Amino acid sequence: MPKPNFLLEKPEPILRTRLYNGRPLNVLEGRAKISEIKGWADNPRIDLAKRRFQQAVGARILQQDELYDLMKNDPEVKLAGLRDDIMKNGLREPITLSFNGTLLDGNRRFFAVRFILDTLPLTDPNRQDYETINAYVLMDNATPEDEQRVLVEENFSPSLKIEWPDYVKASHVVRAHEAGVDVIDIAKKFKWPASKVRETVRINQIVNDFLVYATAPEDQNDELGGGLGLTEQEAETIAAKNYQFFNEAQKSFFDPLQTDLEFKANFFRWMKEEKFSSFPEVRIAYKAWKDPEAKSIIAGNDPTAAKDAKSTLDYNARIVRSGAEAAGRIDAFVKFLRDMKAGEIKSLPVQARDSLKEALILIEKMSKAASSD
Amino acid sequence: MLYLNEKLIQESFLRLRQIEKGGKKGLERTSALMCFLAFDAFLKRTSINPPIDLDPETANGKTNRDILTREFVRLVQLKNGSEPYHVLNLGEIAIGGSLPDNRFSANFLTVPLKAATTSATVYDYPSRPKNPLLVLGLKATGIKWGIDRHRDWKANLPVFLQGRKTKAPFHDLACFVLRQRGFLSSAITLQDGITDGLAEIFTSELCSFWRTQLSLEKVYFGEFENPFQDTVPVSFLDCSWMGDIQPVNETVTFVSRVSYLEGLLRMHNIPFEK
Repeated sequence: MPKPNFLLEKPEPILRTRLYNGRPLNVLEGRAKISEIKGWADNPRIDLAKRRFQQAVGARILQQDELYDLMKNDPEVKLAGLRDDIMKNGLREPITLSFNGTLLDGNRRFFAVRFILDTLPLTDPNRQDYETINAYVLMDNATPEDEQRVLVEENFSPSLKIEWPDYVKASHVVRAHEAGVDVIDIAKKFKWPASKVRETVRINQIVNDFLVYATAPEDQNDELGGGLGLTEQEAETIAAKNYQFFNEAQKSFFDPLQTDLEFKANFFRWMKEEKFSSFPEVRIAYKAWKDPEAKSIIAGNDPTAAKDAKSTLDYNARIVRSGAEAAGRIDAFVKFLRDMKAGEIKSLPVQARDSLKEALILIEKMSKAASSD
Repeated sequence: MLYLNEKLIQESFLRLRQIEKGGKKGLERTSALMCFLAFDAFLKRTSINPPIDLDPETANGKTNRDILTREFVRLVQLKNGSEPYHVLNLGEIAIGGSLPDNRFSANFLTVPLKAATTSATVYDYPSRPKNPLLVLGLKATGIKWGIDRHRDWKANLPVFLQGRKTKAPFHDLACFVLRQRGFLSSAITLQDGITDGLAEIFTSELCSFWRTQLSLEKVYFGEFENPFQDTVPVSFLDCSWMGDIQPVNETVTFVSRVSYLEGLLRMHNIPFEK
């Protein structure tokens, strides 16, 4: 039985069969030398950070030390927290490696141990505990599909460790969908319900549209046309950060995003301007767009614009429960009309002027009905 | 005279295909959309203000029907001949089967328009999806055989282009409409050229709406080098560019289906021939 050089002879590696995504795979369980393990350069978890880095230094394959620095400095990875936890409680779960020593699972644990070694003085007697690590190693006849199974098992299955961010998981699902794999097969492959796969495809559709719109140059000559003029990096960062807000949009107003392009453009702009701070605020975005009062609020520059628009919609949706409340609202409206300046009245849009005319007819009718009692 | 680039027309046509194949949705929506466009083209051609009378018993109504039918045929027919190529569902080509003028008569003039003449309520067209484009009949138009635009047509029109591969449906629809039409324009950009072309066919109301959509969509359309040519494009003369979605011969499909069903009857000894 061939053994890789990075596994210690003692304790002797044990041949085991482990289940990965429903398929049994033979692995060797033993202790691997940290110095001979290669960190996973294509780890999607650090994809954005990696691209930012490559933009600065040029598109080239990252060295292991550079990878380590990225992991260490990316706040999403929380490497320092894991380092402290391992020093306190030890490492409970072995990492998984391919036969050539490339990490398939346990990137954070591996780099956290490297972090410990960096932190501990060379003379520290505890150092040797961290110079090797418990590992499962795939056999030399493992196929790329087997390696894919390990990735799915370790990163898509719920567990206590930090799973890949949603945006990263979604990119794997979408890639499979774009390659023409059936939704049901994707669901089996990633152990997700088919409905979640379909949702992910829809979210991706919105995110893709956002990326196109955000990276299109602004067009000063066309107030409706043109995009946001962001770089790909900037646009992707916004998309990744707001992935769950895009999910909320998918749930609440997927169809309007396809048919009302002006709304879509504005929604993307609001996303860039960080107008939303909660799911309920995203949820009302289309309602606000269709409501003239809420629309003007959400389109404003106030940092709490979405919150204020939601409050307005909530307030207007309330049933008037008493005569006093109705009278109060009418008083407020009349006062609002009285306070309007000539310039403001002149600049009222046609729709608002038509609404006022309609209101006037209604008021006359109401007034007649009230006086006939 | 300017024409759209042949390759652009072909690429646009392919993008108009449905994302999910099958079902009646694509057929129904294409049919309703073409009726609406034909009605608007009718208004532009005749300069008559809507509502329009389509009464089959009056000379005026008959003429209006003929013009409207011609506009419909012009929109959906791709190639003349004994077995014309036509479009039942955007992005796909059908050969033979029911001819476009017969189809328009059966699907629009004979059924919904006639039904609307006796309807006690406002008759919306189409009835599915719930986003009508036109209104028909006395209650809605004041004319028994009347037809007019629905008041929400602007909000409803994009729904009829949903579920297709295109990210810029109004660009691709415009390329489809302008596939064989020359237009006067000194435009440099595709959007300006399309706008000039559409203005020759449709009313200012529809063109203004379409122009807005083109502006909003243009970031999703991407660049197309040399969008115009000065010769008539013959995009549908040879359909080899359609790859594995070659035109479907409706007549052949229908005949083979009947043969298959007859075979089933024979196999089970069920008499069906007198």
